[in-house]
Amino acid sequence: MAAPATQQIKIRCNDEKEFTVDRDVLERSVLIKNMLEDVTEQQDAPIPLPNVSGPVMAKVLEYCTHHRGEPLPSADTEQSQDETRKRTTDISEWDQKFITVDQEMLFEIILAANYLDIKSLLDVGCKTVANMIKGKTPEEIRKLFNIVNDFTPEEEAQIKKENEWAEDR
Amino acid sequence: MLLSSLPVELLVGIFNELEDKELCRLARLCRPLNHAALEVLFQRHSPTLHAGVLALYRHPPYVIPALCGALFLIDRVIHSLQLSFEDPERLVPELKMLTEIVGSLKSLGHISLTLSMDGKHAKDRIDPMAFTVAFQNLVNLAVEKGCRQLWGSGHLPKNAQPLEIGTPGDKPKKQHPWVAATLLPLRGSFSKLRLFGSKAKTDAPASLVVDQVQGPMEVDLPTARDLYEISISSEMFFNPTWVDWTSHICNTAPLTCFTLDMVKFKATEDWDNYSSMLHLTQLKRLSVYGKDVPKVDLNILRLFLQRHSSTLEDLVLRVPTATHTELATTLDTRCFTGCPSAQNQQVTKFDFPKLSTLSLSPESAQWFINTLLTTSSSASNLPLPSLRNVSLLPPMALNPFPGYHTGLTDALTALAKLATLVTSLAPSHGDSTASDGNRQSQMKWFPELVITCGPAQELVPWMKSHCPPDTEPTELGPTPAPSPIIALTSVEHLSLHISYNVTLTNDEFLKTLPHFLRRFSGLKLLALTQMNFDQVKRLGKAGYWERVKKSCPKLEKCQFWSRVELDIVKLTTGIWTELDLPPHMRPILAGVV
Repeated sequence: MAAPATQQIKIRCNDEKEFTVDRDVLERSVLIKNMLEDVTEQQDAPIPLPNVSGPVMAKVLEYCTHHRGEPLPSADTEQSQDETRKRTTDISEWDQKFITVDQEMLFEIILAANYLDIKSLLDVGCKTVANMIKGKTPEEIRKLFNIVNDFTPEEEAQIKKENEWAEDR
Repeated sequence: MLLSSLPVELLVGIFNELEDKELCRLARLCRPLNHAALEVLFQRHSPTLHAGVLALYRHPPYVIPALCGALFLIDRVIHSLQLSFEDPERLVPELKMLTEIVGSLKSLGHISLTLSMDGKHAKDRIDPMAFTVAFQNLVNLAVEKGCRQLWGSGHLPKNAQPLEIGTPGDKPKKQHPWVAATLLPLRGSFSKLRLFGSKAKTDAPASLVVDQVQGPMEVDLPTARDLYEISISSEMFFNPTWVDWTSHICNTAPLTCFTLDMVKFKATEDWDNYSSMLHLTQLKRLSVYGKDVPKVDLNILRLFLQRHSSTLEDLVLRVPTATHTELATTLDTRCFTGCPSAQNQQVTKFDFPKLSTLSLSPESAQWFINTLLTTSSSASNLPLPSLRNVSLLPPMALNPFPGYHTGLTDALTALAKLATLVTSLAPSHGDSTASDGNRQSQMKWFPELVITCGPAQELVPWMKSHCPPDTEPTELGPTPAPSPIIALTSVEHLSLHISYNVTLTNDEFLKTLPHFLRRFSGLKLLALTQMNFDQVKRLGKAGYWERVKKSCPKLEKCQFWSRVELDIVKLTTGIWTELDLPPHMRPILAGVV
């Protein structure tokens, strides 16, 4: 028996770039899934996604396509995971390769995953950044992420003094 | 796009994946990361942070330093700081940092410090001078920030090394956990002070406790100039070693509220022997709790009351008297001999010119009133001329125990006796408005009576036994014997507090109530608990309130209080309903307040 034809959905990004994607792929995004459920009649107009650019959406769709068919985490499982989860930064091999991008793209993916409500992608993004931070000195982190020191001199002195005490122990 | 420009919720998501120390490092990089990293760190260690309660127990050493540099505290409202200290080595540095933290807060209402001193460096000793200075600075700053409550405890878990305070290098002379407990509240200008002994020592016999405790006489005591309220719940503070300190603190502070929680007392000998050293010249409210205390010498209590009778306005007395049945007969002649001070004299005066509120267990009420009647300084003076409210309630805030109603009867009898005396004294009391014609107005000294009723199975029979003898026997069974409760007709305001497990839909209760209320024929206001708006309305339709009004013709208003379960917020609360009973009209349900 032939598989039922998958519905195709159009989306439009903030740079007017349009994608036509299988519905089950797009439904990895809780935001889009809810939008589609709210629309009762078939409509041809593309779904506008004003917070995501074309290149970022292409990466997001790459992720969603790879993970299509996998069960979406329910609210209950998310909660229990949050409660029991140890701070592990393990990422699967495919996800690691997928997320090996420049910092700008990495942060854009995290923002898009948050906006589109794709929990698993957001986790991958957050864990990747966390892995970049781990084991580095404050100066290494500052250099890596180009962090500008915006403390007042008094604040800096206070923070430095107290953290020296902590670092010694 | 920079890491630091990500929204805070995303930074929090990232930082949740990191260990504490990494968060501390991030906090040093820039303001946004400081906010997010330390928010994660302190939510992790203090889940109540969102509610303004920063509670850190058994925290790792880097937590307080990190908190010291936490910028989020500037924007955050922190009402309460609760911290524990385990290591003597860390105590003084952490107190200093805590002072800086308090300095960065907008305001603070409460600090709670626990010194367990059972951590890694438990055997180390604390330099008392360094501790004192650090603690004093913390307290001064906390007071500046509006903090008026400091709770300190120094209990030790079993088998832990006790806190030692002594000069480093010297053989410690003082080894006990209470020093810390006591030093903490000593140092401040606080309006409330709670003193309690070590939980770990509760199994120790009293004599051992006394032997082990070394008093803080060598500690430089501050003047507790703003201390208005003190609560003592350990006999330790009255033992020979500590009593000088206790009396110094209490007598030099402008205390208006004094609570003696004897429930946790193992013995009361020290209180009996040394309480005479307390002279609280501004005392307005005295609370004494003593349920389960094997022996409370009521004569000692009477002496204490007598010493403070001229200022006392509010007395909460919930002590057992069962072991003092002989007291009533010896009240006039018994001479107090246990006290080593000049208070060793016979009681001849027991007047309370300012006392307006009495909350007592029935047994205490009986004792207090009988003492008053026996030892009032002058038979021509009105006893308790300022009394406005009497509440009869169980010895502690628990459900009344079986047999409670017997004590209730005795207490009401004593109150009635007092009422009769006042009635007889009132016309000759020198009040220009007093005359036989308006004697009722003289009874306003005793207008409000609150009775907490006992268990369901005893309540209705008790009420029946006190219905007036002319109650129609067809309704209530055999005619009751004459009740000892007389002369309560002058009570204008009666509240019956009924345990929530007694439902007022109980037909027998409802049938009995109007008859019982005939004892209170002067009643103007009746308050009942456990009756909700719908029940009041239903009973009104059945003409019930007219029957109540027939028993109490002067009744103007009924108030009802009931528990309400609010499903939405899972909250149980109380709600008041009012019923107006105008003289010649049908009852009007005034609405829900």
